[in-house]
Amino acid sequence: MPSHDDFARTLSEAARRGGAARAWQTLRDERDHLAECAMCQREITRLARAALSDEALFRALARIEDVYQLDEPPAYPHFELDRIAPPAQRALWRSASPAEGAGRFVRQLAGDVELRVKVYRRKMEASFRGLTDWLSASVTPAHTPVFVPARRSGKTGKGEVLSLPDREGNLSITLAVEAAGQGKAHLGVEVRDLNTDQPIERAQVSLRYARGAEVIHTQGGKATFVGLEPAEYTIEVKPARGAQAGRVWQLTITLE
Amino acid sequence: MVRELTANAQIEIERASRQVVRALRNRPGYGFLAEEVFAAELSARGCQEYGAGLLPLASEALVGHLTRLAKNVYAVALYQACQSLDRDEQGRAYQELGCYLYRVAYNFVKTKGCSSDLAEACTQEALARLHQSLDHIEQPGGFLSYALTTLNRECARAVQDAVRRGECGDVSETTDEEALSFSAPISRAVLDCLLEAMARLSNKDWRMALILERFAGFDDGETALVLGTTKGNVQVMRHRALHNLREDEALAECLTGGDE
Repeated sequence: MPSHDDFARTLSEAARRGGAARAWQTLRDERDHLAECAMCQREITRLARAALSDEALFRALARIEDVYQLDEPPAYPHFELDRIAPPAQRALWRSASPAEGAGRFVRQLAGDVELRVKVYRRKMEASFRGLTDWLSASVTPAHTPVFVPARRSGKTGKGEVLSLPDREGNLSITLAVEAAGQGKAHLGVEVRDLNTDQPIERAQVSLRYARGAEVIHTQGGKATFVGLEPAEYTIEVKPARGAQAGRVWQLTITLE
Repeated sequence: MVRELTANAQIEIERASRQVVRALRNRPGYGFLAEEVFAAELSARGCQEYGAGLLPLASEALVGHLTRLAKNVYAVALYQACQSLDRDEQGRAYQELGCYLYRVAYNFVKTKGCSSDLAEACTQEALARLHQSLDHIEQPGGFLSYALTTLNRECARAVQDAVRRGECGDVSETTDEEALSFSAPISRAVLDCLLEAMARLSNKDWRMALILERFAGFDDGETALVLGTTKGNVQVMRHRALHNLREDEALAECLTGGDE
């Protein structure tokens, strides 16, 4: 078997004198060298890994793991297990201070919860970003049509759904974001009674932003805002009847 | 078919079970069950399968079958411990699961030219997500596969974000050999897969841009001379070659052993 330097020299000469076709032929003729030379094996390994999609690479790694041939990390970290505490143990909502609530029963998201949604211009995709770790586990892909009115009104792409249950207030607000094209998004708000899991009808859902406001009453517990531009929006949910009547839930979401 | 479990068969199954468990426990993530407990559980399952006519006694086949069974037994135990109300037991189970996932994540992010910190972050995220979805897992025996799928999603997303932020290097320029080498020698099958996929590339110059850089040690200028183009275009060609190879389903099947 020629040394790697000899092989590289032969390949270089073939390329310089005979061009691409001759170099390709030389490479194929030297298959034995490629299969046995350590330097070439390293290059083939690098090329094989670079030529796999993320999903395929993972399948390959899982298969290699199965026969115990993965590279060993220098050390294993200690994992922070307080991050796997169930959300039920965390207070997702808090009552607004009297000044914020201005005499009303107002519920707001906990201080460390920030809702930001990245809406991609080209990919028709929208997804939550930078959620606090324990909340990010509550996000699920919006595979099925979540908010039909939005889908009827035009194009929709990939999206995500996030549930925000308020046990103290006995109400669950679920947000769904779906890409609408050109950097816009559809935003769905679903309001349900947490104890009975029944949709709350005729709840007033208002959406306020710098350039205006929209108000929709829920039907089947749902309200959908279509084709929203990137901006910061404040959502306010006011159930009109039932145990939650007279209370207000406020949250802010930023579409980027 | 029902088989009677003879004393010899039982001894053979117990011996092979200990061997399989010892080998598995050397692997990161497989330390949750004590060796004796693990081996006893595996041996009991092995005897059941032997009685049902499912377990061969031929040495190599026996070890192979028991290894698959051991992973199933371990996955069920780990799954149950992750649901445990005993915080210590649950904590130990998640630490083991974390190690199991971290090694795969580490290899994935290194391949993408990212730092091992990212592997830790996406393993941590995968653990949190797994914890949220424990109730939805219908087959605890497939818990480790399910965990890998969850990790795959987290890592793919994290790497994509990191690349966008410019935090990962171009893997083709990475010189960290340890991070990029397979432990086992590359097989001729992998080599054939790649050569055939490169032969399928629609533009012959694209594959030469790859080959001359990787096997002849050409820089972009030398490659540009051979291909009669500019240095900038050589980089574009290499990028397109890799992009097309990633889209080649036959290559993915071949490299991931999908046809086995």
